[in-house]
Amino acid sequence: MNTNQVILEVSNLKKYFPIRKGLFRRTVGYVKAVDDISFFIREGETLGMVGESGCGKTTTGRCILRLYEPTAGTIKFRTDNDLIEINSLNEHQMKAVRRQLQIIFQDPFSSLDPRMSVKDIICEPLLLQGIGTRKQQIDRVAEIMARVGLDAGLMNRYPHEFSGGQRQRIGIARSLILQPRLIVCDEPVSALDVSVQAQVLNLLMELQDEFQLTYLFVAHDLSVVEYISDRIIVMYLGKIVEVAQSDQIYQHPRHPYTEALLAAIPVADPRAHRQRKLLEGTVPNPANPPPGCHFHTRCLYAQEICRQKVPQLVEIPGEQDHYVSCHFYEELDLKGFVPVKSAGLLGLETDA
Amino acid sequence: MDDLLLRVKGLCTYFHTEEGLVKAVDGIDFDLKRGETLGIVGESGCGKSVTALSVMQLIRPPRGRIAGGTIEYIRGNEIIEITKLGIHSPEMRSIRGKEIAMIFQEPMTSLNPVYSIGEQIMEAVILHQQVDKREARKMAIQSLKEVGLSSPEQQVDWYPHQLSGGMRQRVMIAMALSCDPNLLIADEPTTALDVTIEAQILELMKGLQRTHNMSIMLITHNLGIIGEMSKRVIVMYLGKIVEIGKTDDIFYNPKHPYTRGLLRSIPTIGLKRRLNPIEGTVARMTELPHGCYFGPRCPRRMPICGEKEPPQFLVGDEQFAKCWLYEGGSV
Repeated sequence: MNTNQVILEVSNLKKYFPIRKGLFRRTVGYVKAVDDISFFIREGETLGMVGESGCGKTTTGRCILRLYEPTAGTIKFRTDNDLIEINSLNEHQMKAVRRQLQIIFQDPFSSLDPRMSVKDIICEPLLLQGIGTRKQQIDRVAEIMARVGLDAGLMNRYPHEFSGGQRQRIGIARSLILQPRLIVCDEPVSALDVSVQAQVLNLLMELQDEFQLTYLFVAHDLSVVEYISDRIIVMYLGKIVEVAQSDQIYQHPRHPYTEALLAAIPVADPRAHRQRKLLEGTVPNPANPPPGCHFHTRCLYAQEICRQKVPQLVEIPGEQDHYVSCHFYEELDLKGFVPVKSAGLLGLETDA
Repeated sequence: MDDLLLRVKGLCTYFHTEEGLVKAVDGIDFDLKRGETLGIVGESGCGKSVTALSVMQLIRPPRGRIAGGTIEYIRGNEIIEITKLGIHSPEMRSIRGKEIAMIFQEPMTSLNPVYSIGEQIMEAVILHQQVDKREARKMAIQSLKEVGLSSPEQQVDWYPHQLSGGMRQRVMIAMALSCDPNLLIADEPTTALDVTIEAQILELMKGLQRTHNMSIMLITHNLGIIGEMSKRVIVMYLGKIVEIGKTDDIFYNPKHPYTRGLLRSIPTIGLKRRLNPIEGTVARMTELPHGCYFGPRCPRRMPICGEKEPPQFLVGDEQFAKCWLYEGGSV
């Protein structure tokens, strides 16, 4: 059990995007991308955040960095042993916090400026923060490039000369150069091929050990999230439906949506022959979410109360760190993910 | 022979680019049986999509061309050499879309935004079958119903933007199935979709395969989807087939170091093992290594690997690996 102190605390975070229509761009409604969520991250852990498109996971990550200004709620970040509220800081104060708070983006093709050399891309945070002499900055770039597995001799080249995996390493180098404490990883391996994806995941884990990093790891791939996360948040339509230790989420899910997500994962095991219940329908429009529990339209266990009353996220008694928002979590007996038992797949390890 | 639907021999598909000749597919052989699902797996640039486009005769000169080999499509007692048919020939048009249909990764870009989905399905139906508009519309509604749209009578008049990603892919499938094809080529059909929708589409494809008794060529980078869907699988690397066999053998008894590397690279829930990725990166198509293309990244590289390209060796029951380790049958 990780008992480290909390490094980030998010309370009642909301982010609504206005829907504007007509000649005068009047606001006719809101997309509630993130709708009243609260969670915390402990120092040194990896908190995974999963959900389908439109569930608000990326928006949450961006609100934490104040790339989006939250509509409501507070975000507290620990600096100098104090949890300070960062969403009321002014630009100057925020700049100091940003040294410790960085992000890695999904798409290594569009997130790097094609007109900047790799050296300039990685060095830019040092320039903005005014750290070091030019000589020191270049040395630091070389050092960090070597650490993430890039040839420092290539620092004068441009992003298009690198492969997807190498570009993602450039993005990682840039986010690491200020020696941050918390990194929001927004789908960092989704655009990569499997062999490269594994390299980048392992690199992220090594860097975490080496620099005592804390990650908020946003992804839609449940196998990737399981591999890297200590705890996991499952989101659906702007709300948190379940939070627990990774093992708990996969072996003993308590929310019907989590169960459904697990059932939907394609398994690389031709002998698996699973009996699975598949969700019907699609995610409702976030501009017009259903009343009551947002998930009731697709839930296999929904009853009358689910259509009327929004369930609260509660900690399950007797289960530490396991939170769920479902009216019937006590009664439901949900199925976890049946792990692959394939001796053959495991036998791979014995190969020379 | 009776149950064979497609036979590909020595297929080479090359592209002329500014950086030089790219041998996207370079001498591949495989068979596809009636009613089977054959998976093709590999990382980007391995030639899996180009293989599919070659079968459909959708490689456009002058940039690209089928430079060698044959693709034989077997219709009853007739063997049709697709590679001999012109891209725009009437014979090819009567096969493409009717007997061999294809669905693509991105359902939004494959649908025309200015026509209703009904009109787009009807276009295929009218082109390939002797029916009038009224009949074609009926058939379009029927096929939308088959792919699980909730109110096909109304939805037939909808436009693509009114549909979600999953529904668009269902429409693509409806269009592909409207002429009852013998072979459905699905190129990354669920890559753009969320995991719960992906599961729905895969189940739908399985069900339709049974009712239509068709073959599926399923192209994906996702080994999980291969495990769920296909009985046989082809593993490609840089334009070559490196391993081919029954899915069960490929997953439980992989022979080629690349296949092993791929399997070790995917996180598997509950296994709690460290990922052991393949080192290095895929070579550029214009700067291919000597000998075995996988050689520079291979953990079991031998001197011969840098000199001579290995042939396919029989390594098990209907399982072949293109690797010098298996020379002389040392399995």
